[in-house]
Amino acid sequence: MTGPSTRLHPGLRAAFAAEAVAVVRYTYFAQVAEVEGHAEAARLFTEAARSAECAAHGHLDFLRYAGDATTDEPIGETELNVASAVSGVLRDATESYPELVAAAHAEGLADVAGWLTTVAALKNAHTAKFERVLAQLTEHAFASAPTGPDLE
Amino acid sequence: MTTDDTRIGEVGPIVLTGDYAAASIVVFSGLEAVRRNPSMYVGSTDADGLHHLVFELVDNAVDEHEAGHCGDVHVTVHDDGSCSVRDDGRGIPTDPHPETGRPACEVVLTTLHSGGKFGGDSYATSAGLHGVGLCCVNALSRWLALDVWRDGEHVWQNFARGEPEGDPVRVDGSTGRGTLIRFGPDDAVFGEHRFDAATIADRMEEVAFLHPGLRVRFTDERTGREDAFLHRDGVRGLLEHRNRHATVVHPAPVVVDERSGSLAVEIALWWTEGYEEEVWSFVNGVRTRQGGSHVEGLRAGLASAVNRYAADNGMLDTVAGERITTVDILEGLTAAMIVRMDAPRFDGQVKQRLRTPEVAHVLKGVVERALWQALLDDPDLGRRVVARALDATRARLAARLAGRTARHRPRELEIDYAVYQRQFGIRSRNWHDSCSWLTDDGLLAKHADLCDVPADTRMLDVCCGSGVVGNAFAGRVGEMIGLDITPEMVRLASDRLDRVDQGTVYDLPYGDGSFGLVVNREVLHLLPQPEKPLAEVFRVLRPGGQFIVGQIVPYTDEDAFWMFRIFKKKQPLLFQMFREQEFRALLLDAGFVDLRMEEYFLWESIDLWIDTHETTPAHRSEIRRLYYDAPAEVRAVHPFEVRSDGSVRDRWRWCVYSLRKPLG
Repeated sequence: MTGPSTRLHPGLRAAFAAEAVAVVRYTYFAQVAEVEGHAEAARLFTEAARSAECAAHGHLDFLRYAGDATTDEPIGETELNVASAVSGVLRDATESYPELVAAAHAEGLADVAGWLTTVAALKNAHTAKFERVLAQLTEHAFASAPTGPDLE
Repeated sequence: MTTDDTRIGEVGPIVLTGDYAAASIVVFSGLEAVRRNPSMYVGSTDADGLHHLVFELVDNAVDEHEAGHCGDVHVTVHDDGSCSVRDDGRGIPTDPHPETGRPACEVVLTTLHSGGKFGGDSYATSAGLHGVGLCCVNALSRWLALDVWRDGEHVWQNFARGEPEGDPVRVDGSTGRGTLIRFGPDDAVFGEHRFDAATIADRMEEVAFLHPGLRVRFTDERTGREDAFLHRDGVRGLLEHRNRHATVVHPAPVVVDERSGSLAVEIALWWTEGYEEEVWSFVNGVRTRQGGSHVEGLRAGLASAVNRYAADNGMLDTVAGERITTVDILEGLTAAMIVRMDAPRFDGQVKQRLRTPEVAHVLKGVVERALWQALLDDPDLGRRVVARALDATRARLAARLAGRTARHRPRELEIDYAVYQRQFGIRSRNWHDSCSWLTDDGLLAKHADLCDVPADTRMLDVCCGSGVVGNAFAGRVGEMIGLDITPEMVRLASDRLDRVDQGTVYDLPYGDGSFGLVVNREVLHLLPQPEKPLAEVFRVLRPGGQFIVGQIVPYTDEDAFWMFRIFKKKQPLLFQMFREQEFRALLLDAGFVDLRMEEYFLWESIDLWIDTHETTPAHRSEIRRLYYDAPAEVRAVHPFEVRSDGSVRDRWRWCVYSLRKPLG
């Protein structure tokens, strides 16, 4: 199977990102609607979010052959997926969030800086967890391959 | 996903035995089925399932009441952990059952039967778990004792794990009537779960409210608690009872009693000075804890009427575009509501939410018209209700502004101290009721026990609030001085400390080295650039002086962001959620040495903690949701409890630090 063309690929990636964001937006909007007592609107948002999630996964079904839509790392099998997750979350923890924290402080938004600091801490925790799983998977791969790793 | 429907579907074939010729077989296999899979019959084997046994017995008494034969039901939790339910109904029949020849009462207690409660759509109008039959109570009890007074006889019979222990004993010459069932729940089924007085009493109150004229009593022998409920006034009576300790906004509830087609509603409304919205809503006798279409209609109708009234009477600041939102109307609203309708549709895992959208539309109209008329009839009511809602509107706007008020630039700090004064000034009214940690003796002792200074030391309690922390050092220091920015707090603390000054922690009004001890608790997260106040504390300490500071901190990196969201929604003035290592570094960077830290874990009632001025109604809902939907990674590291009534307790991790300003 061949992946999408170079022209189609960026479009598909953008569509994936939009659907993924829609899932979170709708879930958030549903919570607001519930709090405000608009049960029908809440239900609509919740159902739309679930469909958008399914659509986003559908985009990934095609995109996975071209690599992770976020990190560009190759994905597919769990070992590759975990490696891609490590690469993404490591960048969040060590670059993206620290930069944002500094920017928030520079703008005098102490609470925003405080918030981003806690998220950076979460990303650090995730990095450690994913790295641990990756190490286990790699170890397992070595152990189960009697002739050593298959270097392509 | 398991829904109630599938569970009922599974119960159906077992319950609906129909064929009475097979009764003797069912006697055995029926109770075995209940014991083998209790959750299928009573919902669960936790506290909810356990209490369901009690409610099952109460429902039988209620049936007798509805049939016109019972005026009194009495539930008792006994010292030995058993429970009894006594009613003054006709008594369960004791004559021989035509099919089996056994006494009817024994058949009822040992046979999964298809009585009237199981037929048709009974599950659609009961809470979804009711109507499982006395035999389930019997099957899930280690022992059960039955007493019946009927037709001049007193009949009793004992059971063990569902099996009769001999024939019933009959004594003539009794004038009493009714049924008494006492049972000891089987620990093998329910484990460590025990009867909870509050759960039973709440339910009993509901029963009394839904069945006017039925006297309902509850006794807990373990604590001596006695409750008696008798309502004759429906929704109005319930609200008057529930609000008996509340500060109300208008003297009497507004009552709506209307019929629209096949829909009948009774509503009582009463605004209080509380912050929470409390609506007790029922649809065909089912408590809809999660609201739904009818509550949505109620809210929309109220918002519409109050807004229209406020606009028509020029009570809104139209220049500023002021508008009362639904959420503002709900602040402090208490309401009791009974809806009777055909074919209600429910959803939610325990059928606690009505989903019949057309009801929302009808109710909005009914409520809007009724409240509008009530407001026109009583201008004083209108003035009070609108003023209450506007309070909420303005508090909401202020809360939104509060988070945006304190700004700093790298070199300068601009803080609107008025915001702090307002927030904490308003809270000072019920400061000590506002959460448990403020006055928890163990936590105060944790701070005081770290104290290691000469007995004549001059102490400063900085941002002292009501002064309880400084007061905990009484006897260990020579002089206790407090400082707070809020005049109300300065007055409060003056009862506990030798002297209280008003001032800001960013610029302490004291000379260098003025104190031998400075104490502070749960403040630094509310201050932008906390290193500045810490530098001030360092300055006013004499060399070798001690600094004791307590702070709530996350358990790990995994729950910090979640706690930030909760604490920020609770208090918009929050600026950071320090992790332990982060807070430690902040203290050491300020120049302190000799760091010691003690942990203290304290269960806090979140419902109490968020019932406060600075937390908007929407934020309160969102905070509860953050607990209900907490990510698994958070649950794995951070203990908290959500009870079946939706209330939340959180086990906060307090870290209390002792540090020194270096000598020389």
